[in-house]
Amino acid sequence: MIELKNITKQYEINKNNTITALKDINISIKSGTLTVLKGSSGSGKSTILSLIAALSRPTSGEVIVDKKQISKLPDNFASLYRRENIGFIFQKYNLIPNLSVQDNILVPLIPNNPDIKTIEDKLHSVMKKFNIFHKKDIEVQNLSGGEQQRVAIARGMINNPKIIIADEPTANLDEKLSLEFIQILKDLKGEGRTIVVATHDPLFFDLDFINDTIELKNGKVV
Amino acid sequence: MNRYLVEYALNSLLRNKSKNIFIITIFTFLVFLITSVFFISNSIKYELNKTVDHLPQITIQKLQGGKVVNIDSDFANEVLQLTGVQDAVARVWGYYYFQNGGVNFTIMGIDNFENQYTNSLQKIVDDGSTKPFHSDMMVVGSGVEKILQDNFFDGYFNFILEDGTFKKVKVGGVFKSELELQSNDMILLSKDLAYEVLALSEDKATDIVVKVANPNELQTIVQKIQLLDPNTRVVTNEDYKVSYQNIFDYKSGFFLALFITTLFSFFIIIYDKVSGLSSVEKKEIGVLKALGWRVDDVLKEKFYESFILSGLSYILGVFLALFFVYILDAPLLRDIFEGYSVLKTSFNLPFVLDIQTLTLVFFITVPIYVASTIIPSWRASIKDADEVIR
Amino acid sequence: MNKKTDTLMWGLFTLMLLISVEMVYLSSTKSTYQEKELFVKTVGLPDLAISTESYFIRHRSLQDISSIFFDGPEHLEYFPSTFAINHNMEQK
Repeated sequence: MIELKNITKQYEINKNNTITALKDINISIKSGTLTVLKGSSGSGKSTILSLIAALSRPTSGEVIVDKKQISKLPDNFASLYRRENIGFIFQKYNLIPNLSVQDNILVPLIPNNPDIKTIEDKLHSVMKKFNIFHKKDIEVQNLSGGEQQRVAIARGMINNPKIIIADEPTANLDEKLSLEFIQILKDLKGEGRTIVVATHDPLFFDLDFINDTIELKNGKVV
Repeated sequence: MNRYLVEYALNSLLRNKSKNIFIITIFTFLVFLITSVFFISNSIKYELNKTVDHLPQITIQKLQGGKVVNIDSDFANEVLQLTGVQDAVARVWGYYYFQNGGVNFTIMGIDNFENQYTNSLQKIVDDGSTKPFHSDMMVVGSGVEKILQDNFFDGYFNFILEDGTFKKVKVGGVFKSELELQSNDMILLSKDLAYEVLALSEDKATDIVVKVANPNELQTIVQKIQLLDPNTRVVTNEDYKVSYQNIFDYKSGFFLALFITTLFSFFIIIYDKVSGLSSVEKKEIGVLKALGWRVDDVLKEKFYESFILSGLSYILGVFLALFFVYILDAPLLRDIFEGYSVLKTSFNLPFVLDIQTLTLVFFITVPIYVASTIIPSWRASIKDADEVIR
Repeated sequence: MNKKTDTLMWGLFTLMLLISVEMVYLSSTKSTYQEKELFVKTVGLPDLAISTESYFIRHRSLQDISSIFFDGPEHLEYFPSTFAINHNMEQK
């Protein structure tokens, strides 16, 4: 259960200029649901995602995830929270070039310093699941857009997160790959995960397995 | 040690291959240069200190108008009368400039030359010479022999005396090559010959060396000698040790130039790092944080990166310096220490393992480089990473 | 998986091994100083024959600063050796 209570987020550009990204927002997301954040760019979708992921702190208000206050977590605890609960899918994938598929996917696992057996098992299962096992030793910059997308998803899933956050995931994909991605989301939701997607891709707007659509305009819920 | 983190760090280094290879090269070269110079100076000092206790306990020079001039040979007898003095001998030595070769020979006159040769000197002379030794022969260092041969003097030399006449002296022996550092420019003659060659009158000597019965009384005897004749300069064994200590002034000349250049190059590298991360690097840190890396993990990775880079450069630099100085005999660097001398020594220096030097070089390079990498990374990683999503 | 780390470790190990071998070899080829001591005892002159271009560098321990000025003050830095080797500044 994700709750945003009275959230205001302001960014300081310089001494005299602040931008208000979110104005007194209240959002409630139930566990196991898929929520779509809709709105044009600059409407505050990405800000909400980063607040849920504890990547930034609100100027005022609270973010509560599973009854835990995460908006004021110190940096190290925020990172730990992300590691254990959040699976990220970035808009531009943000894969690390010159690393292989395998090495990219295991990045979230590195700080834990797990033993080799655990790592191999986890990698194996997640790569098979997203159908990129056959390319595990290939450097990611040599993959197609769709394959890179799947690597990004696999990386987000390696820690078995409860919450998946996707920011404009289909922005760089063609329709076929976008539909493939949507199918993956459906499967993940079927596993009981909470999914929050920020997008203005119309493919998302009439799906039957979407639980909630929140539209944002100028930092306010419409 | 987190091997996955090390692997990630290595990949990170390889991502900027050409830049990092450049840094490693410069770094290694700087370490190599400084370490080589330290090795050379430490070895020279070591070589000097190994034999310093065998130098004369007291050497007396005569001063006139603040300048060193020849001393009266009789003064040795006066010194001998002082209590505590075991022996006082007048020495004849000096320099002979060989014009054609453009070299300075050091000439030393030896008492009882033939006896000394058969008893002890023979041990340190090359076995190549088979002829029987006479006191009118000379024993020379290997550098001297070479210069003579280069100037077509085969087994002898013609000294030009004061009156313009030639004095032919045969070479009776050549010092062993292991003694090159000490003997390269030396010519040992009998005292009589030395008087002739150096154009010194018989009642004068170059200096007087004194042996004391009790080393603890050295300073007292020095004072007594100076009371005998205030216009003397007395150099003791202890003074030699002090002189050997300050043979290299690390604050001036060559060393200063070297250190400044090295520091300067080094700080250019550091400045590049401290002036902040590129946007690509900042983004990478943001991505890592979004994926669950804590600030500690990011810094640990950066530490591995910089430590691998600088540590590797350091080890490589030391390895190359060892090879360069002790196996190759420091080809270009030794010319700085040897200067314009035509008589070049082989520079076969003793290997001295000075942990202090190695530690010093390590601490002025590696930690500074590591800090210069970690600090900007730390600054970037404590910021909110939400720009990554944008 | 951690191939590069393995390579680094092996490379480092080899380098350290080479250095150790180098050091052991150099220590073992150290000469005894008996002969040198005998030479120094017989001749009785200090300093090594490294820089023979001028007497105030060749036997620097027996020279004092005024002997340099004896020839001419500009000679102080004339020789490259004095750039590296310190002339004996000790006045007695």
